[in-house]
Amino acid sequence: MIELKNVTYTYNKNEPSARVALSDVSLKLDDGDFLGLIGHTGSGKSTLMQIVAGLLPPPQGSVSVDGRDYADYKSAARELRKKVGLVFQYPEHQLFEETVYKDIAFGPKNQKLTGDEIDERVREAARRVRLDSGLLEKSPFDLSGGQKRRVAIAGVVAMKPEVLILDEPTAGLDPAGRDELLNMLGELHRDWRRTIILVSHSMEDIARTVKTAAVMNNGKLVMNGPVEEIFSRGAELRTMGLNTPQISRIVDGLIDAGLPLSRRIFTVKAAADEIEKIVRSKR
Amino acid sequence: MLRDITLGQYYNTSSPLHDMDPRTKILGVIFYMVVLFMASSVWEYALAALFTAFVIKLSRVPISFITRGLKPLVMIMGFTLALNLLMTSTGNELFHWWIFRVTDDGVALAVKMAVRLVLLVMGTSLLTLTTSPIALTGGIERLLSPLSRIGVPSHEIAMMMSIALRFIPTIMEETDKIIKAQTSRGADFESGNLIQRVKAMIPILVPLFAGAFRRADELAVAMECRCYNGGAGRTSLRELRFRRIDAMALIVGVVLLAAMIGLKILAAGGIA
Amino acid sequence: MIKAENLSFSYESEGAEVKVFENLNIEIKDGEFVAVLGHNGSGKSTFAKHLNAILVPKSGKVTVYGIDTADESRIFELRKNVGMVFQNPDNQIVATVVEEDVAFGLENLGVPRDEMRQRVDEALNTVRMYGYRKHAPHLLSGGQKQRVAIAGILAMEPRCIVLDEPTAMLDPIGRDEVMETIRRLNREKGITIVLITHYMDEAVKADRCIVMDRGRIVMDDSPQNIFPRVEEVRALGLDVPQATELVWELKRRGLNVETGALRSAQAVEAILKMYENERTK
Repeated sequence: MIELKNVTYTYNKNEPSARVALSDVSLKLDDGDFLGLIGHTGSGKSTLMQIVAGLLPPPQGSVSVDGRDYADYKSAARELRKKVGLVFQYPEHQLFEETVYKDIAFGPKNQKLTGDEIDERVREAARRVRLDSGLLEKSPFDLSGGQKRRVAIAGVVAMKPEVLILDEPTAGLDPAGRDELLNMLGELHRDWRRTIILVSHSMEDIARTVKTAAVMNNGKLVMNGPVEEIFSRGAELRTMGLNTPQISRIVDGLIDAGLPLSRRIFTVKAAADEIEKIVRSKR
Repeated sequence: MLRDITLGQYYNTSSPLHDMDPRTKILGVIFYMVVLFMASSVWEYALAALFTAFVIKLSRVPISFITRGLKPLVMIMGFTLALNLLMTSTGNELFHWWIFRVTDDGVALAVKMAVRLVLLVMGTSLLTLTTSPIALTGGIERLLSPLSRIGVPSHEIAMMMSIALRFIPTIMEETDKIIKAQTSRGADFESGNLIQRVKAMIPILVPLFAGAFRRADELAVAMECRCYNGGAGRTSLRELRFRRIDAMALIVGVVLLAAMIGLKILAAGGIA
Repeated sequence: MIKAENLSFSYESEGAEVKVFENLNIEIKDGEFVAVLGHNGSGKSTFAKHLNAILVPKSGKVTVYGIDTADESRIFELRKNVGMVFQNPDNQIVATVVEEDVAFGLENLGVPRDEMRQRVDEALNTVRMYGYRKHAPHLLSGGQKQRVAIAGILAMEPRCIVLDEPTAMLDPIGRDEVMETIRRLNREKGITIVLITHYMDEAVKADRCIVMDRGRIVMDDSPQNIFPRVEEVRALGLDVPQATELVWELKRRGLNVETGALRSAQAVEAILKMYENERTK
C-alpha cells in the first residue's frame, strides 16, 4: 500500500521559471487496485506517477509505504523504486539490448535474481504480453512498432512490481493493437491481483478497462471514485479539456429529451440494454 | 550547476547591443580578443576593463547574470593564478616557501592573467547573451559566405548549428526520460568502479543515439517535403541590416585598438 | 487532381520481397477531404508518401496536378503543391523560432523577403498561431506545434495537404485544435485534404473514406455508407463510432431504429424517433 499525503511538487524551485506541477495531492493506492488516471497534458498526472515511482527529487508532503511513514522522501524513494515499475510513454524508445530476451532480462538482472529465475521471468513476461517466443532471439530494433511496445512493457512486467504504472500505453497504436493491449492489462490484473495504474486521456480506454479512476486538473486531484460516478460528471470533465466517451454524450442527450435513463452509463452495451428495456416496457 | 553556465545563453531584452547586426558583434568580439591579448601595462588593462564595463552597461544584461557565468571558471582561474604566481622567477623575491619563490613580477603577472580571463569571459559571453541563436547562426553564415567560393560549406555549417540548437532541448528532455525509465528498471548509475559505471551508461546511450537517428531521419524527410535543396537560391526571412549603430560600434572598436597601440607606443617611449 | 494508376510498391527484407501494395487505383478530386484508414501495416502511410515523391512508384504511375511524381525535374513544383504533415510534431520543426520555421519552405523556394513576410503572417493567422510567432517551438503544446507545422506547409500555398496521423501523439485538446484547423482549410480555402488516421471520430468528418487492408482498397465510400457496416469494419481491425455501434446494436436486437448515425446528435435523434413511434403505436 502506498499513500501520498498533501504532496506538492515544484519544478525549477527557487528559479524565475518555477512551476507548480502538483499542489496538495493526497492519494491512497491499495494492494490490488486497478486505477485509471485521467488528465490532459500538463495536468500533473505524469509528475504524480513519477513521485509514486520514486523517480523525482523530494516533494513537499509525506509518503508512506506499507503503513510505514518515511520522514524523508529519499529513503521512501528507494523503497518505491523497488516496488513500483513505471512504463513511460512510447517505451519502445528505451530498448537498447542486442536481443529481445536480453532487453526483457535487464530488470530482473538488476534485481539480482539467479539465472533460472531470470529465464523464467523473461518467458513469463513475454507470454503475458503475447509476444511470440520465436522473437526472443531477434534484435528489438527489427520488430514492428506494436511488437517493440510489447517488448518494452514486458521488460517492466518481468520485474513483477507490486505496482505497475503505464503512461499512455496505447498511444499511437491502431484499434486492434489498442484492444489487444487493454485486454492484456485486464488479464494481468485478474491473474496477478497486483496494483495497476493506467494513465490515459482516452476516456473510451478508461471506461472499458478499469473500475475506479482519478482525475487530475491543474496539479490537483479533482475526482477520485468509481468510473460511472466520474463519467456522470461530463460537463465538469469537459471544462477541464477532457472528453467523455461518445456514448455518455448520447445518453446525456436522451436524458435531456426526457428518456428515463441513468447517467451512469458509459459503455455501448449498457446503453443498449437500458434503451431496449424502456422501449420494450412501452409495448 | 548546468544552469550557471551563461556562456551560450541568450538574455532576452532590448538594448542597443541587442539591436546590432550579429556580424558586427562577431567581428567586435574578435577585435576585443585581439585587444585583450595585446594589453600588458596597467593602463592598457584599465582601458580594456573600462570598455568592458561600458559595453555591459549598454547591453542591459544584469551584471549578476554575467558574473554567474564566471563561477564554473573559478577552477581554471585558480589554476592559472597559481601557475603564474609560482612559476615566475624574475623580479624581486617577496617570500619563499619550500621550493617555491614568489616574486613581485609573479604577483603582477598572475593578477593580469586573472583580469584578462575575467574580461575575456565577460566580454565574449555578451555576444551570445545579446544575440539570439538564430541571429548568430545567420551572422556566421553571412560572414563565412565569401569562403564558400573556396569550398567552405558556409550554409551547411549554419544549418547544422541551427538544427543542433533546435534539438538540444528536445534531446535533453529525452535523456531525462530515458534515465528515469532505466532507473525504474533497477539500473544503477551511481555505484561501482569506473568500468561498471561506463557500462551502466549503455542503456542510456543506445536509446539516445537510436532516437537521434530516428529524429534525423524524420527531419530530413520533412525538410525535403518543404523543398529543401541546400543553400543555392535560398532567401531569408531574417534581415541582416548594417545600420548606423553598427558603423558606430565598428568605429569604437577601431578607436579602442588605436588607443591600445597608442598606449603601447607611449609606454615604449617612456622606457627609452 | 491526384491520380494513382496500377501503383505497386514493395521492399526487400532479409532477402525476400515484401509487397506493400499492388495495382492500387485511386483518384482524388480537387477540394475533397479524404480519410485513409487501415490497421498498421495496411500500406496507407506508404501510399501517402507516393503523393509527393518521397517514394516513387516501383511500377505504375502517380500523377499530381498533371505532374508525374517520377519526373525529378519537377519535384519542387510537385512538393510546393502537395505539402505533408507528419505524426511527430518535434521531428518536423526545423527552426528555433516559430515564424522562422513557417518561413523555411519559402526560403527554400527563394521567395522574396517582403512577400515571404506577408505569407508567413497569413499562414500563422490561418492556424491561429500568430500570437506565438516569436516563441520557441519546443515550449509549445503538441497541438500548437502541429499547427505550426501546418502553417509551414500552408505558407507554400499548396493545393493539397497530406497528413500522416497528425493527431496520434496529441491529447484531446490538441486533437480538436488540429482537426478544426484541417477542416477549416478544406472548407474555407478549398485545399484538398488527405488524412491518414486511426481515429474514427476524425474519419467521420471527411467527405470520403478509403479503407486499406493488406495493400488493397477494400472500401471507398462516404463515412455514412461505410461505418454502418459495423461487422465488416470491425473485421478490418477498425473501430466504429459509438453512436453508429449503439443504433446498430439496437437494430440487431430487433428494435425498429434507423441505423447510419455517425455523431451523438444523430444517434439521439434516431433513438428518440424510435421511442416516439413505439409510444404512439
